[in-house]
Amino acid sequence: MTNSTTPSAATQATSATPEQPAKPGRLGTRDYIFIGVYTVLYFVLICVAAMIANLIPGGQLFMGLACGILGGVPYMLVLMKSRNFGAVTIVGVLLALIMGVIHGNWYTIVTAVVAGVAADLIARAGGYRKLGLNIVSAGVFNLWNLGLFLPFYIGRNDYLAAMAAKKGAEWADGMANLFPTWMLPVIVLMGVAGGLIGAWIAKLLMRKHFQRAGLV
Amino acid sequence: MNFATSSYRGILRFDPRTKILFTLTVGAFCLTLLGGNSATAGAIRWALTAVSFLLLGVCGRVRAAACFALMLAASYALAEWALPHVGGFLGWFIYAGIGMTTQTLPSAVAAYWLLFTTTADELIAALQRAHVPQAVTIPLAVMFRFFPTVTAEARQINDAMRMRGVHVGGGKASEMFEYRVVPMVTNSVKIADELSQAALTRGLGASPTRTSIARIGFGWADALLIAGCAACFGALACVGFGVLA
Amino acid sequence: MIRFDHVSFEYAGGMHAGVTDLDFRIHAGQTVLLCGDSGCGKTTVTRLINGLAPHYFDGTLTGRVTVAGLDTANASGGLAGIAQHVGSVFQNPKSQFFTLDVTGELAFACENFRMPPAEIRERIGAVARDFHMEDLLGRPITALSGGQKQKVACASVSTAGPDVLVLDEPSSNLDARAIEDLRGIVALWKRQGKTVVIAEHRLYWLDGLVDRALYLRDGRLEREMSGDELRALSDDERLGLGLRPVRAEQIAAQAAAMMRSADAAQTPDMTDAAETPNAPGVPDGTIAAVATRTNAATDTPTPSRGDYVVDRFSYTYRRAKAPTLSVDRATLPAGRVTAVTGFNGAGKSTFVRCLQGLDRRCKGDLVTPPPDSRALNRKARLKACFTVLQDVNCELFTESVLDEVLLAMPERGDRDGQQDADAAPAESAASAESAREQAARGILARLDLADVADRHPLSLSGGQKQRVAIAAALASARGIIIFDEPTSGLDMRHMRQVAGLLRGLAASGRTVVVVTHDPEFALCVADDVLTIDHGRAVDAYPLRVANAADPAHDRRDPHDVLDAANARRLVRALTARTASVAADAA
Repeated sequence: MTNSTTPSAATQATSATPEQPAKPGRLGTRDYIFIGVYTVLYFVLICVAAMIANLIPGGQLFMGLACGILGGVPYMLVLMKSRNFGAVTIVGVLLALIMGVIHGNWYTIVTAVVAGVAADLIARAGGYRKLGLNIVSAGVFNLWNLGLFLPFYIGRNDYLAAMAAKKGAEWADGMANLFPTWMLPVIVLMGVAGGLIGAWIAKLLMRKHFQRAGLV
Repeated sequence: MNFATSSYRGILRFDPRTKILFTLTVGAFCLTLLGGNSATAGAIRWALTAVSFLLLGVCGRVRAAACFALMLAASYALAEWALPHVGGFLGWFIYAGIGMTTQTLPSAVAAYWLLFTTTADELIAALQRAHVPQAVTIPLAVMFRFFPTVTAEARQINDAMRMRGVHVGGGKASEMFEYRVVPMVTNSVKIADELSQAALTRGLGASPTRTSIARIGFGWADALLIAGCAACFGALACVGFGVLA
Repeated sequence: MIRFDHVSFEYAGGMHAGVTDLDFRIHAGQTVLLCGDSGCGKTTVTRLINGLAPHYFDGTLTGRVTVAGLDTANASGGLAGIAQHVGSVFQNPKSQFFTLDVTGELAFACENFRMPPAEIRERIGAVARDFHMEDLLGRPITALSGGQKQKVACASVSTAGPDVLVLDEPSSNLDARAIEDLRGIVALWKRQGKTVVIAEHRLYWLDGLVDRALYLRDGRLEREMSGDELRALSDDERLGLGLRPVRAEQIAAQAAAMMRSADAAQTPDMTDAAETPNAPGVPDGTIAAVATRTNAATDTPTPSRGDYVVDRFSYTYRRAKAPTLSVDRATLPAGRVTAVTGFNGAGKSTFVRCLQGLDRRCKGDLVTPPPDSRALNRKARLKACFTVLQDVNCELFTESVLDEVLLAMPERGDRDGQQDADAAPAESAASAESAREQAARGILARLDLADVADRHPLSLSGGQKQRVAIAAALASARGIIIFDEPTSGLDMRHMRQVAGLLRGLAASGRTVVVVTHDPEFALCVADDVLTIDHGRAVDAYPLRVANAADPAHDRRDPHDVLDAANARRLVRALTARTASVAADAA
């Protein structure tokens, strides 16, 4: 009697999972575990990025950029390891839970989920194998962290503005929120740029290390 | 991102779902400034802030609560006495700093309380009961378990680099990044692989739902807090209908 | 209970060796040992029983594996279906727990099988009582020692109540005390009538528990023995099979026997070795050959004699009042191998971290041997010592084996007064780079890594990776080389190979410090022993001593003969309780 199991990839195969044998297009328990691990790596790296950005005064402006650059490697690993719809979305949902729900930030909940789904769809359009689309999806995904700053762009604090206006500071009258609104498109652009750069670095490291080491 | 290591057994115990609702309510009003600058919204913000501090204090973190309170007070003092007297860039800098502190602090206190009084198991159990699928709860559980592992690995990698005389700042930034990230990723993948084997041979994923021994559930305290949160949103609705100012 | 009907398994991609035509039966209640060299297929057999092959590891399975009446390849529910009957314990304690606290971990499998919480709590209580681990309940797992973690792993498979238990090298990372606990657990399972299958290299701790032993070679079942036959194997026969001692009392005797055979083959003297550097085509595998080439690694074979002296090492945890490590004075003889032994948590790792100078909280100096007798502070030690970490994956950074060695090699002019001229770059600035590379290639050749010089380090086998790390240590041109548990999970052949490499390093003038809790390895490798307990240096004695009375040894390294009394002392210290328990059981 011969039992031939699914002849897909080796140890860290992606499509076939133990419980749902060989159903391409579905994630299984093993994928969930790997997604959790990569999300931790992502999280640790963006924390480092945030720390670096916060070292310089006004560096918060560059936080999205830094997060994108450092987070590129784990992001691309998520994409390349599962190659199925859902993995990136799950990362987005996890970020929404941790940075949004637990910290009570509604904007992050929205941006993280939306960025996750959008990035997932973009990468899927190329079957998770088209380098260009994968890099673009990294750029879009990195916009999840907009939600962290949105509270300071949306919503006016009358009390503070009134206090500042006492001095007659001209900026206090013209400004509807904590940061000038022109900054918003700038951080969006920088966020996308960071994601693209990070994905590019990840691509270089993949070729240099992870592929040669048989990891992906 | 440090969860409590043992479950909270003091007075005023809440279900994690209640805690999340409360944190989200605080966030909605204080962080995302729901309700704008209406008088009612202002009152709600003060009430929610006060309750946050109270909860943090009651669960035993009196010193942390006091620290946060001091920061909040300092911010308002600055706004009251310093902000009207400085202008220009420095003024804007203080303005933005105070604004961010006063906006984020209340929800930070609530989040701190949530994390301090909830174990990872309890949170996962609560999410499972709230019908969050395993596609989210399994990676989340892995994350909580994996954070300490990653930091330990990072420390070892750092040791190995220091032995080779490769220090932070003592080389090209790209190399600093590469030498740290590459071993971290490879080791993590290896551990994830072994972890998957261990988890799968113990039946993870056997069925779409799991049971849990975490003792969670709603009680009178939960009812009280949920009612409070509902009242906040109710008051806001009243403002919308023009009943309240 | 377990039936293998002409089972063959071949891994997809051919990354690991599979098994061929296994045909055997294991009856309910038996305790069966799977033994043989690394790569003989032991682990694959465990994976076939718990279903990881073919459900997790893709490959081609022929024949049929039946466990508790279940055809594992077609079991309903796949892995999870098998998991209800088979509990698995793995080698690495740090990667097999899924939750953060002990109670949650014990509940994990039961929760997955949807047992009601009240029943789970009851089961946890019962298992904790049986395993004598009530004190661990509720504690964070990260705070536990490796041995405690392994106990938790065993308990957590036990709560779900499987009939079959599969252990894959469970003792690899454990010290004697933890192994004794493990022995107790296996004995308990045996009493409970469970079927236990254990794949192992270290065998002495199973003495008296094993009903049957299956000896595998190259994926085939080569020999089957009863427990008594295994016990009664003659030393020669056992060594022929490549098996580690099966009884605690064999350990000391075996080391002496191995030394004699190794010495007979060992390089006669340094000058000969230096004249035949990196002889090409020498097959890997024999301890003597590797040792010879490592000896050749030195250009100036003048091992300095004298002692490094540890002067008032202390380490105090943050917020702790008393230091956890406090070693006032200890000697590390230069040019010899010192084994730092003791149980897990005794402070061995802290000690070598201090020695390496990795921790700011560590106070104290290391005094170099006379005549210079310089006191090296923490920063100086960072450049004077080199540690090969237990997890070598943490120290492989670059894209090729050669780069890895070059990274560790000192820049020109950065050589911190080492007496060791090894890997010295040529002084002409123009050819410095190529000279460095040549030196690096030389080192690789000596460690049998020449043909993988351009491969990615992470694509190598575990043993090769370890040798890359040793090559980096050699290239660092530092006087003291520290090894942290270099042999966890090695079979006898590889253990002896590593021992040969380390002795070769010492013969070439390096001072080698090796942390181990494995008595078999310590006996193979060490010249001297330093025992640490509760953060104090409690014992120090030589293991290999000059023996002028033996004419066969006079020509060689003077400290060449195993001190039989001290060897027994070492074995007693590292196995004492297990040995006595085994004696009771027998």
